Amino acid sequence: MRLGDLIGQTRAATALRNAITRHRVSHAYLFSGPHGVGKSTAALAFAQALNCDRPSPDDPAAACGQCRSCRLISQGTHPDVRLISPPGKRETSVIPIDRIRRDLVYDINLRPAMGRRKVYILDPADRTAPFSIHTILKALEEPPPYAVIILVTSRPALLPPTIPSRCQQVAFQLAGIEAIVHHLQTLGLDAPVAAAIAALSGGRVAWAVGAAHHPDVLAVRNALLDLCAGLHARAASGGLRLAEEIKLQALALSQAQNDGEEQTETEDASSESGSAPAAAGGGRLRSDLPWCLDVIVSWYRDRLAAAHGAPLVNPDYAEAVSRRKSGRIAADERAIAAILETKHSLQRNANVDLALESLAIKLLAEPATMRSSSHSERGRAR
Amino acid sequence: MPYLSLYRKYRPRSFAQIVGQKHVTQTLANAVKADRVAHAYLFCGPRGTGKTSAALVLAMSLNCDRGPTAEPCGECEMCTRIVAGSALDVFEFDAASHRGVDEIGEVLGRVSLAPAEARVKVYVIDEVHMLSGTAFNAFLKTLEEPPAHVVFVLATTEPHRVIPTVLSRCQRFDFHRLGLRDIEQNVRSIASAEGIEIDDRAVTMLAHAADGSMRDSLTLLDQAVAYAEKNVTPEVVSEILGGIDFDLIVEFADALLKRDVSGVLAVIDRVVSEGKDLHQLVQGLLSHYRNLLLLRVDRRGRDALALPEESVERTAEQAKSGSAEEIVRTLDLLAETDRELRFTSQPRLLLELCAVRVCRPAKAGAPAPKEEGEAVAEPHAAAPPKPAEVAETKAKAGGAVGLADLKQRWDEVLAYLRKERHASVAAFLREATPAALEGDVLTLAFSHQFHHDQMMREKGRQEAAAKAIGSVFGRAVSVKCQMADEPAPSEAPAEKERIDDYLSMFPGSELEE
Repeated sequence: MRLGDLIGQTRAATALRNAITRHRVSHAYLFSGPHGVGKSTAALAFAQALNCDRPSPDDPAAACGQCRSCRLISQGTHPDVRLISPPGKRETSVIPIDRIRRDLVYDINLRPAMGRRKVYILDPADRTAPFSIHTILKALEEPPPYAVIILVTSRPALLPPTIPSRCQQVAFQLAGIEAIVHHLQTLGLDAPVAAAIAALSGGRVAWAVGAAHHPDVLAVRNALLDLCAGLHARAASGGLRLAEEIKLQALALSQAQNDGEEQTETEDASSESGSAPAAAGGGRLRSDLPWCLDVIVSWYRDRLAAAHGAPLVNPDYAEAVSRRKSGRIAADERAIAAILETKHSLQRNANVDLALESLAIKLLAEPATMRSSSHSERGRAR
Repeated sequence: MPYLSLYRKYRPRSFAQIVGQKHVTQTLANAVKADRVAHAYLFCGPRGTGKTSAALVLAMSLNCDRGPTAEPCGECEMCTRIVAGSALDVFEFDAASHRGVDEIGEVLGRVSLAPAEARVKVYVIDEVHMLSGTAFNAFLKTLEEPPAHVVFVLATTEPHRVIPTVLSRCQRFDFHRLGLRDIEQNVRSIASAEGIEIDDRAVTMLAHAADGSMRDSLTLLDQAVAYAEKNVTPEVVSEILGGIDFDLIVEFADALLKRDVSGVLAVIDRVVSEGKDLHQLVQGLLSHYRNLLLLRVDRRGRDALALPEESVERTAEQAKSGSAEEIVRTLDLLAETDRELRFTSQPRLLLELCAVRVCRPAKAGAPAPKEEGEAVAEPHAAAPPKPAEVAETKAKAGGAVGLADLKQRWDEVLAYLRKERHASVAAFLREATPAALEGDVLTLAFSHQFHHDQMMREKGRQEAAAKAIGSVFGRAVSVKCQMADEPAPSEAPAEKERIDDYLSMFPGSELEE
């Protein structure tokens, strides 16, 4: 992977390449931007470019990818490139303070063993043990001349302001949908499938590439949208059943990915940083459910958009979305709020079944509420 | 020599070079001159305002080979070693790495040893608020009466987290956020020293984005230089600051002001497909709306805008098309979205929701498009505006307030009362229904004797209720209270009818009490 090969990150790539070609490499970088757009990939590519033994003569910022240094970095075994990440795959695990002290604060004073530069990649920098990010302040401000520290985070707001102030910030962005469609097509996907996946990815390249490997992802998405399209025909009391069906889809998604992973041994390098489909390990439901909720929310979002004649996220469901004219905007908004709230509480470790059931009941109850009298009157009846 | 970041290369080396903190640097310089240097200082202030730099300059002043002087030479061995961080007697460390008692105890154990080569041992402890409570306490004795050869400089961005017993043992200096002009000047002089061609407008934009921090401004300058092809132009700066250009923001605001939902959604769609950052867009909109508001309320507001002339013109033009209330309401909604955007994985959705809400007319004005149940269901969409405004608009809106309206919007009266700290009155009124409206006298029917009596007991309560109704409906009324069974209660017949209905469905059945 070269810096120039990043998808939809022209700005970030230009800034990093220029830094190398003009010999203005800063001692500290903060790579910020949404999940799964290539920040971690870029950090490794940057480390390769800094240490490559045989950079191409006309472009010193392009790592060859073949030399010993480049190979060791992509295998994660280069002695001078340290990737400091939380142990384990759990969302809640953090980088312990001892690790930061040993592998960064102390290690930074040792000269490079084989490369030109020592590169420290803290990924994600916002998931460190409480107070431990402060231990790097001194190193971050005045490291030895050979050191480069890269902080990677999708939530820069969580870092104390003294940290970004010491770093050059490189902002990564959601890739343009067209760029993703194009990339997926080069991977060999049909145009309509590529378009649907790109729209779902919301600009996250890693996610799109992961989904491209698992055709079932699209099937689950279709099933969920069909579910939404049929909501109005359901009785308000069917909440528990609806919850069960959403859960089944989430489980189907997990299943599809597990199978997929057994088949494809080597994942695409860029998908390693991906969130939903590419993430490995157990506890699948908790990580797949939010994605399913995203699909459902996109349905309500489309209804909102259709009411105002704006472009849809799921253009192939345009007819179903606009068919439900009776839907009121306020009801859709409340449904969206309820879904977002559920996602939020899932992040905070809410009971999956309960959260989902409560959401499903709300979604189904919505039209009923609207049919009955206004809120104020119900309020007074109490 | 590898490349050195600008903020490291141009770190101040004398009191005179520390920009914008005269109240601190002058005092310190005088203290050195008069040989009245205290044994403990506390430097507080936001990031990038010169705390650590001032501490190092102080260390140099005290230890410079040319005797304690307010103007350290920066050339002698002592000075250069302090700058390089290799002086044996100047200890600079961050408290976060030495949080515990044991760790700080290790440091303190060596305080009593005489300096190895310098006159004075200087301990610079950065981010001192990170010390644990017990570590602070372990520190107290040393901090109060250190040996004569020791000076402590504690630096922190969060002085409120330093315990009072430490505060009282230190001379405290507050570093201020730097002014726009100071930062501009500094950026310009460093740019010319580096041979960087930079536009005046670009300098202003950088200084703005630095938000009072000198280090941030130089980090940004570094970034801009690395990014720019040749000169640092305003375009380059806007690219590195997020790449949302002014035209886009004006277009967005235009659509919002025209309440053109599909127009706004189309702009968002374009921004997303170009892969631009929505958070940046919202922040750009926030500052644009702030400018609109400034221009709207004060014609002389122009000078306060950090915009080029032609942008000011366009902003001023746009400011004419929205009322101040409208702009404030939009600002509120945008600020809320801005907060939520930090924690969401669905930025686009949130912004779209926000746009839809902004474009929906405020409830206070003309009643929203007839979507029954919506007005009440979305109380937060148009948070209860100030009473005076409402009274005005309502009066204009028609004046004729019927009993049905009162019933319909009774909750608003209650909400108003709660907001005005009449929660108890609101609680009593919750048990009441507007029963009759004759002229300016509103009759409230209570279902329980207790609530009725409570309302009757104090004149103030009735007045509060009358005032609340007056504010919400823009119509002065006086309030009369009575029990619900006195006049025929409005809901009972309905109930009876329904029961009769049921009974008629099952012929021959009887209802038992």
